[in-house]
Amino acid sequence: MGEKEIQPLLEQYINDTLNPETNFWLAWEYDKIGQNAAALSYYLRCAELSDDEDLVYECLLKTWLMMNRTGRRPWYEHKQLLTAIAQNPHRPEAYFFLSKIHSEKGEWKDCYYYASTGLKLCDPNPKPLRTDVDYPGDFSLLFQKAYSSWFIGQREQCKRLWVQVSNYPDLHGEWKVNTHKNLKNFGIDINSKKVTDKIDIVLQGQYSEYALETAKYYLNLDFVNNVIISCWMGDNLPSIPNNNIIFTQNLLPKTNGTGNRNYQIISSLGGLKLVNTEFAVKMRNDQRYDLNSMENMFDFFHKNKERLTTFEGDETKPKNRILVGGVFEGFPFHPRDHVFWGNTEDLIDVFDMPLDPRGIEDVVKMKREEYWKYYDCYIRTESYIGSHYCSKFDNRIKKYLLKPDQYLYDNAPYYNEALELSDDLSKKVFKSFPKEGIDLEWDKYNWKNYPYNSQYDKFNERWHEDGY
Amino acid sequence: MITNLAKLSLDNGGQISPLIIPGDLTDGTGLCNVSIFIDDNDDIIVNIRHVHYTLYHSEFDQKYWCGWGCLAYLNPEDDVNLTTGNYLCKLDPKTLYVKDYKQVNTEKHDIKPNWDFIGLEDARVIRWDKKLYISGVRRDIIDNGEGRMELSEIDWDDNHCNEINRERILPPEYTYLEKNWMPILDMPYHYIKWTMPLEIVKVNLDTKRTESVPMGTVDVVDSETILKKEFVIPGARHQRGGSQCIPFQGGRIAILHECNFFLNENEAKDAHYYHRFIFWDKEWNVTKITEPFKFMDAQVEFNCGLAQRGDDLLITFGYQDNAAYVLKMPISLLDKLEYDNIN
Repeated sequence: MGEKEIQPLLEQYINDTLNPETNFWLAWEYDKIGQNAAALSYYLRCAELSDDEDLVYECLLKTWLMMNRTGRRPWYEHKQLLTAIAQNPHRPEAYFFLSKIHSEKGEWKDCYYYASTGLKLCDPNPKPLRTDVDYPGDFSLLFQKAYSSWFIGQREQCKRLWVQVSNYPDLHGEWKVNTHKNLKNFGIDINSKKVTDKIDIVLQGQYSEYALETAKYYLNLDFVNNVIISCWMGDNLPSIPNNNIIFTQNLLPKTNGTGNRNYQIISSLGGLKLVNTEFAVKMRNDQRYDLNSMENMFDFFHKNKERLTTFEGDETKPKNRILVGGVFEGFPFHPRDHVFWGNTEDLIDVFDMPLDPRGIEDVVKMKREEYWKYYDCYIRTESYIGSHYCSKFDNRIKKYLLKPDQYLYDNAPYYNEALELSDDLSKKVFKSFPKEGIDLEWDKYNWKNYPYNSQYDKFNERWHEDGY
Repeated sequence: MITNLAKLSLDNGGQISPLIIPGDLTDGTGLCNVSIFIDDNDDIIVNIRHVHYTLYHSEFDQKYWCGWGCLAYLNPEDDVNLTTGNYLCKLDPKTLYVKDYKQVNTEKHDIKPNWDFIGLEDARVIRWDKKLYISGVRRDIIDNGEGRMELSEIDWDDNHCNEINRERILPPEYTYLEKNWMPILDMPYHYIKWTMPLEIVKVNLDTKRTESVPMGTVDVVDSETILKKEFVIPGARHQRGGSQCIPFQGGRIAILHECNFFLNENEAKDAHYYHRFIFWDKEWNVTKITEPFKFMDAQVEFNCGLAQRGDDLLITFGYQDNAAYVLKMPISLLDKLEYDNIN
């Protein structure tokens, strides 16, 4: 009945009764065998004894879960979940369970409130809890919002959200069955079969009508499967204009990271995870390449995608070389981040990196235009992305990232060492598109064409024609 | 003060074991207030009280209250009753884990409850005149919650565990509530009703008769006080019953409990429970009594059982009303405990 497993933890508790850890792990053993009352006692002691916010939150959630499993204490459950939220309003689990309590009673406004609020407030990548709390997965809050939105009159939002839910990689079991049932009821066809002869395009960034027009524009290309608009929770989205345009809304991180790099990382990765094609493209959503340029890039990619090197310790990766809009000469691991065109798995590896723990303006207030003056105080954004990806190919770069002031900041004492390695490696990892035959407009700066010449002269940007 | 007798015991060759009934039988609610008894065939028998609630008790700084506060009985919200059931179990002699259990079937003598504390609470296990009994307090007969000790005879084999007789013990003089009487194992049908001062009562089974109560009839028996002895620990809290009283080293030993009720800073009622070993000689003179101690450093702990097995004492107790344990304590450890000066 579990006594043997409890025994050592019970003795550890007895030897150190005021240690939150001994209380927690003893609780967990009771929890695992359905001894809810005993588990509750030790979880509650742990919460009272601990200063670790995440641990306290988990324990409070457990004091709810234990009684949820016992049943017939709905008022207590509700209050206990509120206690957990008050402890940490940025974690999703308690919002989800409150939302579920209300959906089970047909209290749709309440259900929608907790799901929406949770989606708005919660960390996009919360630290994993230590133990299972019956939380279904990342899709949970969005599922609840989709479910309840129909019953509160948000019909178009409802359809869009079900599409989003269906694209969550961790959607499973009954959740998946019900999602697909709803989509079928709405006449929305989700083709889960991997498309091999076309590409998906991810347009990342805050939603705008311009982004939507760009998505429609790219769908004129016969090699484009879907366009995924990867934007933010809270963005006001239109109803589904086209079944080949998929919206996904990401949670904003705690900090934007210098130059909004965290925004780019999250929205790129969030969109790429929904890609259903072998190859894909990540682009900013405030730029638009003309269709002829897109066709040229498509052809150029397939002629130049062969991989030239492998990850350190994993010869199965990458699948291909990444094609980028340009490369900056004289800066280590510095691709242009406007477009990343590559194998979908590789692109996910590009953006699967730690977020910048703090942005420059978390430290000191300044105008964005002044950032350039302090390149010796932080890693340039595109170098940040490039260095992290390149570090998968050469472990020395991990050290550079651990000591960026020594290697990666402008004028760092060992900058040349990093540059030397970059000159050798970057070309094998990234390949620039040519400037010839490729042009784009940039809505943000009201550019109608890309200023290749000034970019070359003023900023050292280089392309295929320059040997990159 | 010793706040962790379990640790002291483990450090001196003792043992602690969790006592568990599968959660699917109890909805995971509290198991507590265990009584232990070594049977004639050396079987180790325990009675585990199953409360159908979970105790929510914030300790220390009490930062995380539930909706009802820092101390709450989480009974089903659609049922205000605090219901008790009992499981008789046999323990593995080596591990002291539950190896066999049966819920005590009381339906033969149950009548419709008339108060919201339902069932036989804090039952101690005894064998008197070759009959196996559990004896605790029942408060569900009269609509004011009047509590009386009851003596329930149990017929227990591999197939069933039935309460075959139930006698409600009338106290020598009327009181509202009688509970925690400590059965004296070597004196059939005798209990220690109070320890400070000592009062021993004898139950007269010959007086058995049936009486009408609002919801039916119950069998009652009289009891009479056969011994009273002055005993006071100056400054001590009120001493209440705990374990059975067992023969020990030519005299007798038992475990008492005492409560320190207090109001926290929010004026909410809370408590610390403590226990003591008490020793008597053959003539019921107290020979020594320990200082108060705790078993496992929790505010709410409750002992209902004590047995001697070889060189050890087996002590059973509930933890926060939510968990049940048996502690094997070397008898030699008694010498290391702190004792009150009773002179």
